[in-house]
Amino acid sequence: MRKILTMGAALSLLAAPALAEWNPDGPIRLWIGYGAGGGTDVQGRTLAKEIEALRGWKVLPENKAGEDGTVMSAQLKGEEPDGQTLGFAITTTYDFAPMNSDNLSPEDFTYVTTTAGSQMAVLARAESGWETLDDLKAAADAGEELVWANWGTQVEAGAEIVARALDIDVNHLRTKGGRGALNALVSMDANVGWGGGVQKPLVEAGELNILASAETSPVALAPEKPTLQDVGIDLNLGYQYIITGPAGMPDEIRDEIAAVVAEILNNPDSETRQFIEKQYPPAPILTSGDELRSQVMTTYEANVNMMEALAE
Amino acid sequence: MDLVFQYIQLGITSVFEGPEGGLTLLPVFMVLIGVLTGVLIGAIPGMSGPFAMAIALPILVSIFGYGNDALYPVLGCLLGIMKGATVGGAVPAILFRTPGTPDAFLTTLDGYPMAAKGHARKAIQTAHFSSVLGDNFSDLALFIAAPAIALTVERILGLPEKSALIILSLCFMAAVVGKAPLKGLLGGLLGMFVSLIGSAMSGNGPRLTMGMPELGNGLPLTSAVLGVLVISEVLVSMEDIRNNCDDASSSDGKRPEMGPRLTWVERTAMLPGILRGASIGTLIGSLPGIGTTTAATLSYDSAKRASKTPEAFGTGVPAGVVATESANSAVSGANLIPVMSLGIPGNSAAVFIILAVETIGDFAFGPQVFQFTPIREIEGFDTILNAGLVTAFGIFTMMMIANFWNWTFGAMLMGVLGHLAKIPKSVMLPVILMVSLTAAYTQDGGYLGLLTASVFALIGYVLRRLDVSILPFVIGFLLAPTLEVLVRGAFTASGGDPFFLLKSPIALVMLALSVFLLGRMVVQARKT
Amino acid sequence: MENEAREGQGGSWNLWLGLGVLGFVALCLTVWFPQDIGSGFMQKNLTGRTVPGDAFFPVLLVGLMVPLAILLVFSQLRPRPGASGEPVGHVGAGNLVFLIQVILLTGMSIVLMNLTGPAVVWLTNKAGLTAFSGYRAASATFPFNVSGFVAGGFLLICGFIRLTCRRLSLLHVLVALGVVLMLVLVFDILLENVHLPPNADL
Repeated sequence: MRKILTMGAALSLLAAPALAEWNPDGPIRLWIGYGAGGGTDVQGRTLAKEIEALRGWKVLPENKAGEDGTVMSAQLKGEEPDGQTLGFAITTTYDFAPMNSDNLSPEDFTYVTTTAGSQMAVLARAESGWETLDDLKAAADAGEELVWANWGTQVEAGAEIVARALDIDVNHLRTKGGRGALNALVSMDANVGWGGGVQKPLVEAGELNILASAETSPVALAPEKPTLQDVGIDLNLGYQYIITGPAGMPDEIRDEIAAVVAEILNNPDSETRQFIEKQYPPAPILTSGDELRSQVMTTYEANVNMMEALAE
Repeated sequence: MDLVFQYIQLGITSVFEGPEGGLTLLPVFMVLIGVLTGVLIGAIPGMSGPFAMAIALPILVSIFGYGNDALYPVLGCLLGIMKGATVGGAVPAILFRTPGTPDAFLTTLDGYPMAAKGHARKAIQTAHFSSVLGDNFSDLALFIAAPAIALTVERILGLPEKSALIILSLCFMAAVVGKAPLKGLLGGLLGMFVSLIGSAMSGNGPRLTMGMPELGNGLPLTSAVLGVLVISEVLVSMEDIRNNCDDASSSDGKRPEMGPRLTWVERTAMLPGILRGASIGTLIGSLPGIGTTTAATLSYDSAKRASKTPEAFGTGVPAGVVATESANSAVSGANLIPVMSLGIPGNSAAVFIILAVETIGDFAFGPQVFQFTPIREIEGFDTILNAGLVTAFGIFTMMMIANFWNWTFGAMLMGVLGHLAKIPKSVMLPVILMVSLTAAYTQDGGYLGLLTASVFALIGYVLRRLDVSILPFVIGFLLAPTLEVLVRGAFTASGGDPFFLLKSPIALVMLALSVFLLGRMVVQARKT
Repeated sequence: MENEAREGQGGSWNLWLGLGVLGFVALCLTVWFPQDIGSGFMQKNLTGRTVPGDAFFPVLLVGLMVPLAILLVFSQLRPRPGASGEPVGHVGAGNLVFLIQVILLTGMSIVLMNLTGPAVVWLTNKAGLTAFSGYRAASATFPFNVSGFVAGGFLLICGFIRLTCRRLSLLHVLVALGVVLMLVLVFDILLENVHLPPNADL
C-alpha cells in the first residue's frame, strides 16, 4: 500500500512538476546579507517579487548587512528550518568565512540554490599602463611599491598567493567592501586590487584595466585576458550568490524553493534573469540540493588547506 | 573652461532627466515640497530644519528606495527643507516674539517691535528678502569654493594628511562648540568609540558586540543620529514644559496689524546690510561647528557698530532684522562647503545631507567628486565622464531651484503663516517622538533600530543636561569609520612606522594646530 | 533661575564625569576589549608583516580619553583662584524620575505592540473567523499586521502627551489616533517592503 502511494506520488511529480508540493504557512522572510541598494539587494528583491507573482507566496525581503553575509547568517542559523526564513548571500559566506568564526560552521545551514556568479578579476588603473600580470611584475621589479586593495581575508590571501607566484612584494590595504577597494584604486591609495563585479562601469569607462580573471574562465568584460589558472597560478576566487536556510530543512521544502527559483531564472522574460545577465554575465548559475552542499563542503576544505599552506 | 561648462550643463540637465531619458519634474517637485515643508516647520516653535530633515529622511528613503534614481528626489526634498526652514523661523519671531527656530531668536529683537508698531508685513518681507538673498549669496560661495578646495586637497593629501585633517576638524569643532570644550572633545571621542561597535576589518568577526549577532554590522546610523540629535531634544523639551507648566507657543498670540508692504526703494537700501550679513554668515558657515546663532549674533553686533544710530537697534529697525536673517540664512549654503569638498559635516543639517548621500546610491561626497575627467564619447559604447561631478552640479542646480521656490512660494506662504504658531508644543513633541521611533524601526532593522535610537536618545539627554554640546559626538560618530580606515591604511602603508602621522609636513602642521587648540581648551577650562 | 541653582553643584559633575570616564577606560582595557575583540592591538598579516589589529583604533581612542578626563578632574580639584572649572549642567533626582517614566512608558508601548497582534489572532481564531497557525502566519495580512502598531503607538502618544501636559483631553486622544492611523497609511498602505513594529522581528 505504502509502496503504491510513493509510486503514485513520484508519478504525479513527474506528470506535473509545477504543482506545488509545499506551501508556506504565512509569509516567507528573505534575509538579504547585504545593505539596501547594492547589487545583491536588487537581485534578492526582484527575485522575491517574482516568486510572489509566480506562486502567490508572500516573500518579505529584509536587509541584514555586515561582513559579507556572516552577520545575517549568524542570526539565520538559530531560526526554524521550515523554509519560511531564508538567507541570501554569497558562497564565500559559507565556504570561507566560518574558518575565522567561533559561531559559524558550514554544517549550520541548508543550501537551497545558487542564482548567479561573480566576475572576479585583478584590476589596475588604466593610467598605470599595466595590461597583464607581467606588466605588474615588471613594475614591481623596477622598484614601484605595490599596494593591493582587498576587502576580506580570503581575497587578501588570494592576493598574497598571486604575489608569491609572481615573486613580487605587495602591501595589502584592507578596504570596506568591494566598492571600498575600487575607491582605493581610483583615489590612488592602492595601485592594484580585486573586483567582484562592481568594477563594470569603471572598466567600461576606461578608468580601470582588467589584468586577469580569477574565475575558472575569462570574465565577460575582458574575454581576451587569461585566467590566473591559465598563467599557472592555482587560484579560483569566484563565488556564487546563494539562497540558504537553517540546517535541518526538509528536502522537499528545499527542493521546492530551488525549483521555483529555477523556473524563474530559466524564463528569458524574467526581470531577475535580465538583471543577472547584465550584472553577472553571461547567465544565471543554478546549482542546488546535494550537489550544492557538496560544492560548499569541498570548497571549504580547499580553502582551509589554502590558508594553512599560506601560514607555513 | 569648456569642460567646466560641459559638466555644468550636464549637471543641470541631469536634474530634469528621468531614468529612461525623458523629461521628469519629480526632483523639482520634491524640492518644492521640501521648501514648503521647511517654511511650515520653521514657523512651528519647537521644530527646526534638522528636526524635519531627520524625520523626512527615513520616510523619503522608504518611498524612493536606495537606488541611484532616488538620490535627486530625496536630496532635493532635504535641501528644500533646509532652505525653507531658515526662512520660516522668522515669522513667529516677528509676530509673537517666539522664534520658530533657535537661530531666529535675534530676529525677535527688532522684528517684534516692528510688528508692534504696525509694520508686521514689512518686517516679514524684510526677513524674507534678506534671508533668501543671504542664502543665495552663500550658495554662490559654495559653488565656487567647494570645487576649488576639493581640487587643491585631492592634489596634496595622502592617507596621513587626510587622517590629520579629520582630527583637526574634530578638535576645532570641540573648541568652538559650546562652553565646555574638554567635555565636548570627550563626547567626540565617545561618539567615535561607539561607532566602532560591530563590524571589524580584519576578518576576525565582529567586535565589541557583547554577544549580540545583530550588532555585527555596527549600530544603525540613521537611528543613532535620530536618537541623539532629535529624540533627546524632544525629551529635554518635554521635561521642561512639564516642569514649567507653561506652553510657550500657546501664549497670547494676537495677530498684530500687518501694515503696508515693503517698497523696492527700501529693499535697495537694504542691500549693503544684506551683503555684510551674508558675508559674515558665509564665513562662519564654512567653518565646521560654528552655528547659525553665532553668525546672527556677530552680524547683529557688527551692523549695530556700523550704524549711524546704534541706539535704535532693538526698538524695531529693519536693519536689525536684515543683519540677523541674512547672516543665519547664509550659514546653510556655506555649511556644505566642507561637506562637498571634504566629506566633513559642520552642523546638524549637513549631517543629514551626508546621511542621505551615504544611504542612497553610489554617489559619495569627498574630494574625488570634483575631478574634471575629460568627457569622451565612444561610438556604439557609452560616454566616459565623472558621474559624481555631474551629480554635484545637479545638487547645485537643485539648490538654485530651492532658492527660486523660496523667492516665490516661500514669500506667499510666509504671509499666511501666523496661525501655525498656535499648535501647542506639548502635543507636537509626543507626535515627533512617535514618528521618529517608527522611522527608526522601519528603516533600520526593526527593534535594533528602535533600541539604538532610544539608547542614543538617553546619551543625548544626559549630554544636553550636562551642557555638553552634542555636535562633536555626532560628527565623531559619523567620521570615525573613515578615520579608522585612513589611520590603519596610513600606518600599514608607512611600513609600520609608529610616527606615521608625523612624517608629512602638511599632516604635521594640521596636528600641531590640533594640539594648539587642545592646549587652548585646557587653559580655558582652568580659567573659567 | 534654575541655571543659577545649578552653578554650585555643577563642579562636582565635572569630577564625576572625569572619574567615570577613567573607570570606563579601565573597564574597556581590562574586561571588554580582551573579551570582545577578535584580533589584538597589532597583528601579523598573511605576509608576516605586523599591521594594526581590530583593537588598534579602540585602544587609541580610549587612550586619548585619559588625559582629557584627568584634566577635567584636576581643573576641578585644584582650580585657580576665582575659577570653578568648566561650566557644566547637572542631572538631578527629578530628571531621573522623568527618565524612568519615559523608559517605562516606551517599554510598555513596545510590549503592547508585541502582544496585541497575537492576542487579536487568538481571538479571531477562537471566534472562528480565521484559522491562522499563529501571529507569524498572519503577519502579512491586514489588519492583523498593524494591530500591534496601532495599539502600542496610540498608548505611546497618549502617554507622552499626558506626561508632558499633565492632562489628557479628548482632543489629545483624537490627535493620537489620527497620527497613528496616518502612520499606518504611509508606512503600510502606501509603501511596500516596509515593516511596522513588530513585524521585522518575528
